[in-house]
Amino acid sequence: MKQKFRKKWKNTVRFRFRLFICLAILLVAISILSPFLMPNDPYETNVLMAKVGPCAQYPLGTDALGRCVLSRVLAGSRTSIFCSVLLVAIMFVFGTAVGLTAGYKGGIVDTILMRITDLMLSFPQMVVAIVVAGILGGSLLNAMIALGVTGWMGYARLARSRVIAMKKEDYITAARISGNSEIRMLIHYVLPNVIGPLIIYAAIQIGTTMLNLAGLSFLGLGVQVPQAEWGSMVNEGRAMIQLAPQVVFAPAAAIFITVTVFNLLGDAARDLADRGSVQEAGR
Amino acid sequence: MAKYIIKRVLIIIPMLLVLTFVTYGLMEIAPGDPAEMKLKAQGVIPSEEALEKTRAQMHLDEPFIQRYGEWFVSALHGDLGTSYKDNRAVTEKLGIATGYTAVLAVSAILLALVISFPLGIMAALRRNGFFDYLIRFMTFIGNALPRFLLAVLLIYFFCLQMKIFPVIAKETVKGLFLPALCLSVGLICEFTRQIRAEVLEQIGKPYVTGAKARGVKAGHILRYDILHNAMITLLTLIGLSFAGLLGGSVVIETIFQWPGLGKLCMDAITNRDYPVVLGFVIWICLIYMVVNLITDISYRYFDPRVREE
Repeated sequence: MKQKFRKKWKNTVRFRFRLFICLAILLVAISILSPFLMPNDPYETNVLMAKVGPCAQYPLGTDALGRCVLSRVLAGSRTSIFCSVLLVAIMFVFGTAVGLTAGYKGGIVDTILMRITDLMLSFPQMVVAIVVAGILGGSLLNAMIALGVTGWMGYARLARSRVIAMKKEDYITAARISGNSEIRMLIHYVLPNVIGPLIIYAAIQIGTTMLNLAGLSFLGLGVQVPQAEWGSMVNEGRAMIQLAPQVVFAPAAAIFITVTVFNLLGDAARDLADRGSVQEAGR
Repeated sequence: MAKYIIKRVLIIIPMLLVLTFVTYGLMEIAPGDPAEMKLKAQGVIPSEEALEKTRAQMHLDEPFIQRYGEWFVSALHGDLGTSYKDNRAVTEKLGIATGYTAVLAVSAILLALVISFPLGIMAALRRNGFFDYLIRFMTFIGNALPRFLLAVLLIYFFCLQMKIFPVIAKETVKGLFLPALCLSVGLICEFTRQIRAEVLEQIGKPYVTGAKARGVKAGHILRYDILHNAMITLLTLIGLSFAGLLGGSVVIETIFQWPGLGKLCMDAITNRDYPVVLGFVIWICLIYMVVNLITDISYRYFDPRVREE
Protein backbone atom coordinates (compact mmCIF):
# COMPACT_ATOMS: atom_id res chain seq x y z
CA MET A 1 0.00 0.00 0.00
CA LYS A 2 2.67 2.42 1.09
CA GLN A 3 4.81 1.36 -1.85
CA LYS A 4 1.93 1.93 -4.21
CA PHE A 5 1.20 5.36 -2.75
CA ARG A 6 4.80 6.40 -3.08
CA LYS A 7 4.88 5.24 -6.66
CA LYS A 8 1.76 7.14 -7.47
CA TRP A 9 3.07 10.28 -5.79
CA LYS A 10 6.26 10.06 -7.73
CA ASN A 11 4.27 9.80 -10.91
CA THR A 12 2.25 12.90 -10.15
CA VAL A 13 5.42 14.87 -9.42
CA ARG A 14 6.93 13.59 -12.63
CA PHE A 15 3.73 14.48 -14.46
CA ARG A 16 3.83 17.99 -13.02
CA PHE A 17 7.43 18.38 -14.06
CA ARG A 18 6.70 17.20 -17.62
CA LEU A 19 3.66 19.43 -17.89
CA PHE A 20 5.50 22.55 -16.80
CA ILE A 21 8.59 21.84 -18.83
CA CYS A 22 6.33 21.51 -21.88
CA LEU A 23 4.65 24.81 -21.04
CA ALA A 24 8.01 26.47 -20.47
CA ILE A 25 9.34 25.17 -23.77
CA LEU A 26 6.17 26.43 -25.41
CA LEU A 27 6.73 29.90 -23.96
CA VAL A 28 10.36 29.96 -25.05
CA ALA A 29 9.26 28.77 -28.50
CA ILE A 30 6.71 31.57 -28.68
CA SER A 31 9.37 34.08 -27.71
CA ILE A 32 11.71 32.81 -30.42
CA LEU A 33 9.04 32.45 -33.09
CA SER A 34 7.25 35.68 -32.12
CA PRO A 35 8.04 37.52 -35.40
CA PHE A 36 5.97 34.91 -37.26
CA LEU A 37 3.04 34.99 -34.85
CA MET A 38 2.42 38.72 -34.74
CA PRO A 39 -0.76 39.84 -36.51
CA ASN A 40 0.62 43.38 -37.03
CA ASP A 41 3.92 45.23 -36.94
CA PRO A 42 4.49 45.99 -33.23
CA TYR A 43 6.19 49.31 -34.02
CA GLU A 44 3.79 50.58 -36.66
CA THR A 45 1.70 53.44 -35.30
CA ASN A 46 -1.82 54.17 -36.45
CA VAL A 47 -3.12 57.31 -34.81
CA LEU A 48 -6.57 56.91 -36.29
CA MET A 49 -6.96 53.61 -34.47
CA ALA A 50 -5.42 54.69 -31.14
CA LYS A 51 -6.76 53.24 -27.89
CA VAL A 52 -9.41 51.07 -29.53
CA GLY A 53 -10.65 47.92 -27.82
CA PRO A 54 -10.25 44.40 -29.19
CA CYS A 55 -11.38 44.10 -32.81
CA ALA A 56 -10.72 41.92 -35.85
CA GLN A 57 -7.60 43.75 -36.95
CA TYR A 58 -6.20 44.23 -33.44
CA PRO A 59 -7.14 41.16 -31.35
CA LEU A 60 -6.16 42.87 -28.07
CA GLY A 61 -6.78 46.47 -29.08
CA THR A 62 -4.22 49.23 -29.53
CA ASP A 63 -2.22 51.56 -27.30
CA ALA A 64 -1.98 55.37 -27.22
CA LEU A 65 -0.07 55.48 -30.51
CA GLY A 66 -2.28 52.93 -32.20
CA ARG A 67 0.20 50.09 -32.01
CA CYS A 68 -1.18 46.55 -31.84
CA VAL A 69 -1.06 45.40 -28.20
CA LEU A 70 -0.99 41.67 -29.02
CA SER A 71 1.93 42.14 -31.40
CA ARG A 72 3.77 44.18 -28.81
CA VAL A 73 3.19 41.56 -26.13
CA LEU A 74 4.54 38.91 -28.51
CA ALA A 75 7.49 41.10 -29.44
CA GLY A 76 8.08 41.74 -25.74
CA SER A 77 8.19 38.01 -25.06
CA ARG A 78 11.48 37.87 -26.89
CA THR A 79 12.99 40.49 -24.60
CA SER A 80 11.35 39.26 -21.42
CA ILE A 81 11.55 35.48 -21.69
CA PHE A 82 14.59 35.00 -23.88
CA CYS A 83 16.73 37.59 -22.08
CA SER A 84 15.78 36.27 -18.63
CA VAL A 85 16.63 32.70 -19.56
CA LEU A 86 19.87 33.85 -21.17
CA LEU A 87 20.77 35.93 -18.14
CA VAL A 88 20.11 33.03 -15.77
CA ALA A 89 22.25 30.80 -17.99
CA ILE A 90 25.14 33.28 -17.86
CA MET A 91 24.89 33.71 -14.10
CA PHE A 92 24.65 29.93 -13.74
CA VAL A 93 27.83 29.30 -15.74
CA PHE A 94 29.80 32.09 -14.11
CA GLY A 95 28.67 31.38 -10.55
CA THR A 96 29.22 27.65 -10.94
CA ALA A 97 32.71 28.22 -12.35
CA VAL A 98 33.61 30.42 -9.39
CA GLY A 99 32.14 27.97 -6.89
CA LEU A 100 33.80 24.94 -8.49
CA THR A 101 37.19 26.61 -8.57
CA ALA A 102 36.91 27.84 -5.01
CA GLY A 103 35.70 24.54 -3.61
CA TYR A 104 38.08 22.36 -5.62
CA LYS A 105 41.25 24.41 -5.25
CA GLY A 106 40.69 25.41 -1.63
CA GLY A 107 43.32 27.44 0.20
CA ILE A 108 44.03 31.00 -0.82
CA VAL A 109 41.98 30.82 -4.04
CA ASP A 110 38.97 29.70 -2.04
CA THR A 111 39.42 32.47 0.51
CA ILE A 112 39.72 35.22 -2.11
CA LEU A 113 36.80 34.02 -4.25
CA MET A 114 34.52 33.48 -1.29
CA ARG A 115 35.40 36.84 0.26
CA ILE A 116 34.35 38.50 -2.98
CA THR A 117 31.15 36.43 -3.04
CA ASP A 118 30.32 37.33 0.54
CA LEU A 119 31.08 40.97 -0.16
CA MET A 120 28.65 40.97 -3.08
CA LEU A 121 26.04 39.18 -0.98
CA SER A 122 26.15 41.79 1.73
CA PHE A 123 24.67 44.47 -0.52
CA PRO A 124 20.94 44.62 -1.25
CA GLN A 125 20.75 43.16 -4.76
CA MET A 126 17.90 45.06 -6.35
CA VAL A 127 19.03 48.44 -5.01
CA VAL A 128 22.55 47.97 -6.33
CA ALA A 129 21.15 46.76 -9.65
CA ILE A 130 18.95 49.85 -9.91
CA VAL A 131 21.88 52.15 -9.18
CA VAL A 132 24.28 50.35 -11.54
CA ALA A 133 21.72 50.29 -14.36
CA GLY A 134 20.87 53.91 -13.63
CA ILE A 135 24.46 55.11 -13.79
CA LEU A 136 25.31 53.06 -16.88
CA GLY A 137 22.21 54.48 -18.53
CA GLY A 138 19.01 52.70 -19.44
CA SER A 139 19.40 49.93 -21.98
CA LEU A 140 18.55 46.25 -22.03
CA LEU A 141 22.21 45.23 -22.01
CA ASN A 142 23.00 47.50 -19.04
CA ALA A 143 20.01 46.18 -17.10
CA MET A 144 21.20 42.63 -17.74
CA ILE A 145 24.73 43.54 -16.67
CA ALA A 146 23.40 45.13 -13.49
CA LEU A 147 21.29 42.10 -12.60
CA GLY A 148 24.01 39.65 -13.62
CA VAL A 149 26.72 41.30 -11.56
CA THR A 150 24.49 41.25 -8.48
CA GLY A 151 22.98 37.80 -8.98
CA TRP A 152 25.62 35.11 -9.51
CA MET A 153 26.61 34.57 -5.88
CA GLY A 154 23.98 31.98 -5.04
CA TYR A 155 25.34 29.59 -7.66
CA ALA A 156 28.90 30.06 -6.41
CA ARG A 157 27.98 29.31 -2.79
CA LEU A 158 25.90 26.29 -3.72
CA ALA A 159 28.51 24.85 -6.09
CA ARG A 160 31.30 25.36 -3.56
CA SER A 161 29.44 23.65 -0.72
CA ARG A 162 28.63 20.69 -2.96
CA VAL A 163 32.21 20.35 -4.19
CA ILE A 164 33.62 20.48 -0.67
CA ALA A 165 31.16 17.81 0.45
CA MET A 166 32.10 15.42 -2.37
CA LYS A 167 35.83 16.13 -2.56
CA LYS A 168 36.49 13.54 0.12
CA GLU A 169 34.69 10.77 -1.78
CA ASP A 170 36.80 7.79 -2.81
CA TYR A 171 36.06 8.01 -6.50
CA ILE A 172 37.56 11.47 -6.66
CA THR A 173 40.77 10.21 -5.12
CA ALA A 174 40.68 7.23 -7.48
CA ALA A 175 40.23 9.53 -10.48
CA ARG A 176 43.10 11.69 -9.33
CA ILE A 177 45.40 8.69 -8.81
CA SER A 178 44.55 7.57 -12.35
CA GLY A 179 46.39 10.67 -13.53
CA ASN A 180 43.59 12.93 -14.76
CA SER A 181 44.44 16.56 -15.32
CA GLU A 182 42.85 19.20 -13.12
CA ILE A 183 40.55 20.52 -15.82
CA ARG A 184 39.52 17.00 -16.80
CA MET A 185 38.85 16.14 -13.17
CA LEU A 186 36.64 19.20 -12.77
CA ILE A 187 34.64 18.64 -15.93
CA HIS A 188 34.37 14.85 -15.96
CA TYR A 189 34.11 13.93 -12.31
CA VAL A 190 33.25 16.93 -10.17
CA LEU A 191 30.81 18.87 -12.35
CA PRO A 192 28.35 16.04 -13.15
CA ASN A 193 27.98 15.35 -9.44
CA VAL A 194 27.32 18.90 -8.34
CA ILE A 195 25.21 20.16 -11.21
CA GLY A 196 21.82 18.73 -10.14
CA PRO A 197 20.94 21.15 -7.32
CA LEU A 198 22.43 24.00 -9.34
CA ILE A 199 20.08 23.38 -12.23
CA ILE A 200 17.15 23.33 -9.83
CA TYR A 201 18.31 26.58 -8.24
CA ALA A 202 18.61 28.10 -11.71
CA ALA A 203 15.11 26.95 -12.62
CA ILE A 204 13.74 28.59 -9.49
CA GLN A 205 15.67 31.78 -10.25
CA ILE A 206 14.22 32.26 -13.76
CA GLY A 207 10.95 33.65 -12.43
CA THR A 208 12.68 36.04 -10.04
CA THR A 209 15.05 37.22 -12.76
CA MET A 210 12.10 37.93 -15.02
CA LEU A 211 10.43 39.98 -12.32
CA ASN A 212 13.61 41.94 -11.66
CA LEU A 213 14.22 42.62 -15.35
CA ALA A 214 10.63 43.72 -15.81
CA GLY A 215 10.97 45.91 -12.71
CA LEU A 216 14.06 47.64 -14.10
CA SER A 217 12.29 48.20 -17.42
CA PHE A 218 9.28 49.54 -15.59
CA LEU A 219 11.52 52.11 -13.89
CA GLY A 220 12.85 53.08 -17.30
CA LEU A 221 16.25 51.51 -16.63
CA GLY A 222 15.79 48.55 -18.95
CA VAL A 223 14.74 48.63 -22.57
CA GLN A 224 14.22 52.01 -24.16
CA VAL A 225 11.15 53.14 -26.06
CA PRO A 226 9.87 52.12 -28.52
CA GLN A 227 11.29 48.62 -27.97
CA ALA A 228 8.61 46.32 -26.61
CA GLU A 229 9.09 44.81 -23.16
CA TRP A 230 6.38 43.84 -20.71
CA GLY A 231 7.60 45.92 -17.78
CA SER A 232 7.98 49.06 -19.84
CA MET A 233 4.65 48.41 -21.55
CA VAL A 234 2.92 48.44 -18.17
CA ASN A 235 4.69 51.69 -17.39
CA GLU A 236 3.70 53.27 -20.70
CA GLY A 237 0.13 52.11 -20.33
CA ARG A 238 -0.53 53.04 -16.74
CA ALA A 239 -1.13 56.73 -17.51
CA MET A 240 -4.17 55.84 -19.59
CA ILE A 241 -5.33 52.77 -17.75
CA GLN A 242 -8.88 54.15 -17.63
CA LEU A 243 -9.13 54.80 -21.37
CA ALA A 244 -7.36 51.70 -22.59
CA PRO A 245 -7.00 49.10 -19.81
CA GLN A 246 -5.83 46.46 -22.31
CA VAL A 247 -2.51 48.27 -22.71
CA VAL A 248 -1.71 47.46 -19.08
CA PHE A 249 -3.60 44.23 -18.62
CA ALA A 250 -2.22 42.35 -21.64
CA PRO A 251 1.48 42.64 -20.69
CA ALA A 252 0.49 42.21 -17.02
CA ALA A 253 -1.17 38.90 -17.79
CA ALA A 254 1.82 37.87 -19.88
CA ILE A 255 4.25 38.58 -17.02
CA PHE A 256 2.03 36.80 -14.54
CA ILE A 257 1.49 33.67 -16.63
CA THR A 258 5.14 33.38 -17.62
CA VAL A 259 6.49 33.86 -14.12
CA THR A 260 3.92 31.42 -12.74
CA VAL A 261 4.88 28.73 -15.27
CA PHE A 262 8.59 29.13 -14.56
CA ASN A 263 8.03 29.20 -10.78
CA LEU A 264 5.94 26.04 -10.96
CA LEU A 265 8.59 24.43 -13.14
CA GLY A 266 11.23 25.27 -10.54
CA ASP A 267 9.07 23.84 -7.74
CA ALA A 268 8.35 20.68 -9.73
CA ALA A 269 12.05 20.21 -10.50
CA ARG A 270 12.87 20.57 -6.82
CA ASP A 271 10.15 18.14 -5.76
CA LEU A 272 11.25 15.63 -8.37
CA ALA A 273 14.83 15.80 -7.12
CA ASP A 274 13.68 15.49 -3.50
CA ARG A 275 11.63 12.43 -4.37
CA GLY A 276 14.63 10.96 -6.12
CA SER A 277 16.86 11.42 -3.11
CA VAL A 278 14.20 10.01 -0.80
CA GLN A 279 13.99 6.89 -2.94
CA GLU A 280 17.73 6.57 -3.12
CA ALA A 281 18.00 6.90 0.63
CA GLY A 282 15.24 4.33 1.10
CA ARG A 283 16.95 1.69 -0.96
CA MET B 1 29.95 38.47 21.86
CA ALA B 2 31.47 41.96 22.14
CA LYS B 3 34.42 40.86 20.06
CA TYR B 4 32.06 39.51 17.43
CA ILE B 5 30.12 42.77 17.25
CA ILE B 6 33.27 44.88 16.99
CA LYS B 7 34.59 42.66 14.22
CA ARG B 8 31.34 42.92 12.31
CA VAL B 9 31.17 46.70 12.71
CA LEU B 10 34.78 47.20 11.62
CA ILE B 11 34.30 45.12 8.47
CA ILE B 12 31.61 47.54 7.30
CA ILE B 13 34.22 50.24 6.56
CA PRO B 14 36.26 48.31 3.94
CA MET B 15 33.00 47.10 2.41
CA LEU B 16 31.71 50.62 2.00
CA LEU B 17 35.10 51.56 0.58
CA VAL B 18 34.80 48.92 -2.13
CA LEU B 19 31.17 49.76 -2.85
CA THR B 20 31.68 53.50 -3.14
CA PHE B 21 34.86 53.06 -5.15
CA VAL B 22 33.03 50.94 -7.70
CA THR B 23 30.08 53.34 -7.82
CA TYR B 24 32.38 56.35 -8.14
CA GLY B 25 34.31 54.55 -10.87
CA LEU B 26 31.11 53.73 -12.74
CA MET B 27 30.11 57.37 -12.65
CA GLU B 28 33.51 58.26 -14.01
CA ILE B 29 33.15 55.96 -17.02
CA ALA B 30 29.48 56.78 -17.57
CA PRO B 31 28.98 59.06 -20.57
CA GLY B 32 28.54 62.78 -19.95
CA ASP B 33 30.39 65.63 -18.33
CA PRO B 34 29.47 66.10 -14.63
CA ALA B 35 29.93 69.86 -14.87
CA GLU B 36 27.47 70.00 -17.75
CA MET B 37 25.04 67.80 -15.84
CA LYS B 38 25.32 70.00 -12.80
CA LEU B 39 24.52 73.10 -14.79
CA LYS B 40 21.69 71.39 -16.62
CA ALA B 41 20.25 70.07 -13.37
CA GLN B 42 20.15 73.64 -12.10
CA GLY B 43 18.40 74.79 -15.25
CA VAL B 44 21.35 76.80 -16.59
CA ILE B 45 22.24 76.59 -20.26
CA PRO B 46 25.88 75.47 -20.16
CA SER B 47 28.10 78.02 -21.88
CA GLU B 48 31.79 77.28 -22.37
CA GLU B 49 32.70 79.86 -19.73
CA ALA B 50 30.31 78.55 -17.12
CA LEU B 51 31.48 75.01 -17.82
CA GLU B 52 35.12 75.95 -17.19
CA LYS B 53 34.20 77.63 -13.95
CA THR B 54 32.09 74.71 -12.72
CA ARG B 55 34.76 72.20 -13.68
CA ALA B 56 37.28 74.09 -11.58
CA GLN B 57 34.80 74.34 -8.70
CA MET B 58 34.18 70.60 -8.81
CA HIS B 59 37.93 69.83 -9.00
CA LEU B 60 37.31 67.86 -12.18
CA ASP B 61 40.86 68.62 -13.33
CA GLU B 62 42.28 66.56 -10.49
CA PRO B 63 42.97 62.85 -11.03
CA PHE B 64 40.19 60.37 -10.29
CA ILE B 65 41.84 58.71 -7.31
CA GLN B 66 42.48 62.02 -5.60
CA ARG B 67 38.89 63.16 -6.03
CA TYR B 68 37.59 59.84 -4.79
CA GLY B 69 39.92 59.94 -1.79
CA GLU B 70 38.79 63.43 -0.87
CA TRP B 71 35.16 62.41 -1.26
CA PHE B 72 35.60 59.32 0.92
CA VAL B 73 37.43 61.17 3.69
CA SER B 74 34.74 63.82 3.87
CA ALA B 75 32.08 61.07 3.68
CA LEU B 76 33.65 59.47 6.75
CA HIS B 77 33.25 62.83 8.44
CA GLY B 78 29.58 62.77 7.54
CA ASP B 79 29.77 65.20 4.62
CA LEU B 80 28.41 63.67 1.44
CA GLY B 81 28.64 66.82 -0.67
CA THR B 82 25.81 68.83 -2.14
CA SER B 83 23.16 67.96 -4.69
CA TYR B 84 23.76 69.12 -8.27
CA LYS B 85 20.16 70.10 -8.52
CA ASP B 86 19.53 72.49 -5.65
CA ASN B 87 22.91 72.67 -3.88
CA ARG B 88 21.39 71.36 -0.66
CA ALA B 89 23.48 68.99 1.45
CA VAL B 90 23.01 65.35 0.45
CA THR B 91 22.89 64.30 4.10
CA GLU B 92 19.99 66.66 4.70
CA LYS B 93 18.05 65.28 1.72
CA LEU B 94 18.77 61.71 2.80
CA GLY B 95 17.71 62.50 6.35
CA ILE B 96 14.31 63.80 5.33
CA ALA B 97 13.70 60.94 2.89
CA THR B 98 14.80 58.29 5.40
CA GLY B 99 11.96 59.27 7.71
CA TYR B 100 9.40 58.66 4.99
CA THR B 101 10.92 55.35 3.92
CA ALA B 102 11.15 54.22 7.53
CA VAL B 103 7.46 54.92 8.08
CA LEU B 104 6.61 53.02 4.89
CA ALA B 105 8.88 50.06 5.65
CA VAL B 106 7.78 49.72 9.26
CA SER B 107 4.11 49.85 8.35
CA ALA B 108 4.70 47.27 5.63
CA ILE B 109 6.42 44.93 8.08
CA LEU B 110 3.75 45.45 10.74
CA LEU B 111 0.97 44.89 8.22
CA ALA B 112 2.71 41.73 7.02
CA LEU B 113 3.07 40.41 10.57
CA VAL B 114 -0.53 41.18 11.52
CA ILE B 115 -1.84 39.40 8.42
CA SER B 116 0.58 36.53 8.03
CA PHE B 117 0.66 35.34 11.65
CA PRO B 118 -2.97 34.17 11.87
CA LEU B 119 -2.91 32.94 8.25
CA GLY B 120 0.23 30.88 8.74
CA ILE B 121 -0.95 29.34 11.99
CA MET B 122 -4.37 28.52 10.60
CA ALA B 123 -2.86 26.97 7.50
CA ALA B 124 -0.56 24.82 9.63
CA LEU B 125 -3.30 23.69 12.01
CA ARG B 126 -5.60 22.72 9.15
CA ARG B 127 -2.89 21.09 7.15
CA ASN B 128 -4.00 19.88 3.70
CA GLY B 129 -7.46 21.24 4.34
CA PHE B 130 -9.28 23.64 2.05
CA PHE B 131 -8.02 26.70 3.91
CA ASP B 132 -4.43 25.48 3.70
CA TYR B 133 -4.66 25.02 -0.05
CA LEU B 134 -6.30 28.39 -0.46
CA ILE B 135 -3.53 30.13 1.45
CA ARG B 136 -0.82 28.25 -0.42
CA PHE B 137 -2.47 29.20 -3.68
CA MET B 138 -2.66 32.86 -2.67
CA THR B 139 0.95 32.99 -1.53
CA PHE B 140 1.97 31.44 -4.81
CA ILE B 141 0.15 34.10 -6.78
CA GLY B 142 1.64 36.78 -4.59
CA ASN B 143 5.12 35.53 -5.46
CA ALA B 144 4.48 35.65 -9.20
CA LEU B 145 3.08 39.18 -9.20
CA PRO B 146 5.70 41.88 -9.54
CA ARG B 147 5.30 44.77 -7.13
CA PHE B 148 4.94 47.40 -9.81
CA LEU B 149 2.13 45.45 -11.39
CA LEU B 150 0.37 45.04 -8.08
CA ALA B 151 0.70 48.76 -7.46
CA VAL B 152 -0.77 49.62 -10.86
CA LEU B 153 -3.63 47.15 -10.36
CA LEU B 154 -4.38 48.43 -6.85
CA ILE B 155 -4.41 52.00 -8.11
CA TYR B 156 -6.72 50.96 -10.91
CA PHE B 157 -9.23 49.21 -8.67
CA PHE B 158 -9.10 51.18 -5.44
CA CYS B 159 -8.32 54.69 -6.69
CA LEU B 160 -9.90 54.85 -10.12
CA GLN B 161 -12.76 52.37 -10.01
CA MET B 162 -13.84 52.60 -6.38
CA LYS B 163 -12.27 55.95 -5.55
CA ILE B 164 -11.45 54.93 -1.97
CA PHE B 165 -7.84 56.03 -1.90
CA PRO B 166 -5.93 58.94 -3.44
CA VAL B 167 -3.75 58.08 -6.46
CA ILE B 168 -0.80 60.05 -5.22
CA ALA B 169 0.03 59.06 -1.67
CA LYS B 170 -0.42 62.14 0.46
CA GLU B 171 1.41 62.01 3.73
CA THR B 172 -1.58 60.70 5.65
CA VAL B 173 -2.58 57.34 7.00
CA LYS B 174 -4.97 56.91 4.11
CA GLY B 175 -2.27 57.78 1.62
CA LEU B 176 0.17 55.43 3.33
CA PHE B 177 -2.11 52.43 3.16
CA LEU B 178 -1.81 51.44 -0.50
CA PRO B 179 1.99 51.79 -0.80
CA ALA B 180 2.43 49.90 2.46
CA LEU B 181 0.08 47.18 1.26
CA CYS B 182 1.95 46.84 -2.05
CA LEU B 183 5.24 46.62 -0.27
CA SER B 184 3.94 44.09 2.23
CA VAL B 185 2.30 41.62 -0.16
CA GLY B 186 5.61 39.94 -0.92
CA LEU B 187 6.39 39.83 2.78
CA ILE B 188 2.96 38.45 3.63
CA CYS B 189 3.46 35.55 1.22
CA GLU B 190 6.94 34.83 2.49
CA PHE B 191 6.05 35.13 6.18
CA THR B 192 2.88 33.05 5.87
CA ARG B 193 4.74 30.24 4.18
CA GLN B 194 7.53 30.32 6.73
CA ILE B 195 5.24 30.52 9.74
CA ARG B 196 3.23 27.62 8.38
CA ALA B 197 6.38 25.55 7.85
CA GLU B 198 7.78 26.50 11.24
CA VAL B 199 4.59 25.69 13.15
CA LEU B 200 4.30 22.36 11.30
CA GLU B 201 7.87 21.51 12.17
CA GLN B 202 7.42 22.42 15.83
CA ILE B 203 4.14 20.49 16.12
CA GLY B 204 5.94 17.31 15.09
CA LYS B 205 8.58 17.64 17.81
CA PRO B 206 8.60 15.39 20.87
CA TYR B 207 8.16 18.24 23.35
CA VAL B 208 4.72 18.93 21.94
CA THR B 209 3.73 15.30 22.32
CA GLY B 210 5.15 15.40 25.84
CA ALA B 211 3.20 18.51 26.74
CA LYS B 212 0.04 17.03 25.26
CA ALA B 213 0.56 13.83 27.24
CA ARG B 214 0.82 15.87 30.42
CA GLY B 215 -2.55 17.39 29.60
CA VAL B 216 -1.43 20.90 28.62
CA LYS B 217 -4.10 22.59 26.53
CA ALA B 218 -3.40 22.87 22.80
CA GLY B 219 -3.85 26.66 22.85
CA HIS B 220 -1.34 26.98 25.65
CA ILE B 221 1.25 24.89 23.79
CA LEU B 222 0.72 26.96 20.69
CA ARG B 223 1.01 30.29 22.46
CA TYR B 224 3.85 29.66 24.81
CA ASP B 225 5.95 26.94 23.22
CA ILE B 226 5.45 26.76 19.48
CA LEU B 227 5.19 30.47 18.81
CA HIS B 228 8.06 31.21 21.13
CA ASN B 229 10.28 28.90 19.12
CA ALA B 230 8.92 30.24 15.86
CA MET B 231 9.90 33.78 16.87
CA ILE B 232 13.56 33.12 16.10
CA THR B 233 12.81 32.15 12.54
CA LEU B 234 10.60 35.16 12.18
CA LEU B 235 13.25 37.56 13.41
CA THR B 236 15.68 36.24 10.82
CA LEU B 237 12.97 36.54 8.21
CA ILE B 238 12.31 40.19 8.99
CA GLY B 239 16.02 40.85 8.71
CA LEU B 240 16.35 38.95 5.46
CA SER B 241 13.29 40.56 3.94
CA PHE B 242 14.91 43.96 4.35
CA ALA B 243 16.85 43.73 1.10
CA GLY B 244 13.70 43.10 -0.89
CA LEU B 245 11.95 45.85 1.03
CA LEU B 246 14.62 48.41 0.13
CA GLY B 247 14.55 47.36 -3.53
CA GLY B 248 10.78 47.30 -3.59
CA SER B 249 10.53 50.73 -2.00
CA VAL B 250 12.28 52.27 -5.02
CA VAL B 251 9.52 50.99 -7.29
CA ILE B 252 6.63 51.63 -4.94
CA GLU B 253 7.74 55.12 -3.93
CA THR B 254 8.19 56.08 -7.57
CA ILE B 255 4.70 54.93 -8.46
CA PHE B 256 2.93 56.47 -5.48
CA GLN B 257 5.15 59.57 -5.41
CA TRP B 258 6.05 58.87 -1.79
CA PRO B 259 8.95 61.22 -0.96
CA GLY B 260 11.22 58.53 0.50
CA LEU B 261 14.70 57.26 -0.29
CA GLY B 262 13.59 55.25 -3.30
CA LYS B 263 12.02 58.22 -5.03
CA LEU B 264 15.02 60.37 -4.14
CA CYS B 265 17.26 57.77 -5.78
CA MET B 266 15.16 57.50 -8.93
CA ASP B 267 14.95 61.29 -9.26
CA ALA B 268 18.69 61.54 -8.76
CA ILE B 269 19.31 58.86 -11.39
CA THR B 270 17.05 60.59 -13.90
CA ASN B 271 18.75 63.93 -13.27
CA ARG B 272 22.19 62.32 -13.13
CA ASP B 273 22.57 63.94 -9.72
CA TYR B 274 25.64 61.89 -8.82
CA PRO B 275 26.34 63.10 -5.27
CA VAL B 276 22.81 62.12 -4.27
CA VAL B 277 23.12 58.70 -5.97
CA LEU B 278 26.41 58.08 -4.18
CA GLY B 279 24.93 59.21 -0.90
CA PHE B 280 21.95 56.95 -1.44
CA VAL B 281 24.16 53.93 -2.14
CA ILE B 282 26.35 54.43 0.89
CA TRP B 283 23.38 55.14 3.16
CA ILE B 284 21.14 52.30 2.00
CA CYS B 285 23.96 49.75 2.20
CA LEU B 286 24.87 51.00 5.65
CA ILE B 287 21.27 50.56 6.77
CA TYR B 288 21.17 47.12 5.21
CA MET B 289 24.38 45.99 6.87
CA VAL B 290 23.34 47.34 10.27
CA VAL B 291 19.99 45.56 10.00
CA ASN B 292 21.79 42.34 9.08
CA LEU B 293 24.11 42.77 12.02
CA ILE B 294 21.22 43.36 14.41
CA THR B 295 19.46 40.28 13.03
CA ASP B 296 22.55 38.15 13.58
CA ILE B 297 23.03 39.49 17.08
CA SER B 298 19.40 38.95 18.06
CA TYR B 299 19.63 35.47 16.59
CA ARG B 300 22.53 34.72 18.89
CA TYR B 301 20.69 36.32 21.76
CA PHE B 302 17.52 34.30 21.34
CA ASP B 303 19.12 30.99 20.44
CA PRO B 304 21.96 30.13 22.81
CA ARG B 305 23.01 27.22 20.58
CA VAL B 306 24.31 29.63 17.92
CA ARG B 307 26.44 31.42 20.51
CA GLU B 308 28.45 28.27 21.15
CA GLU B 309 29.80 28.04 17.62
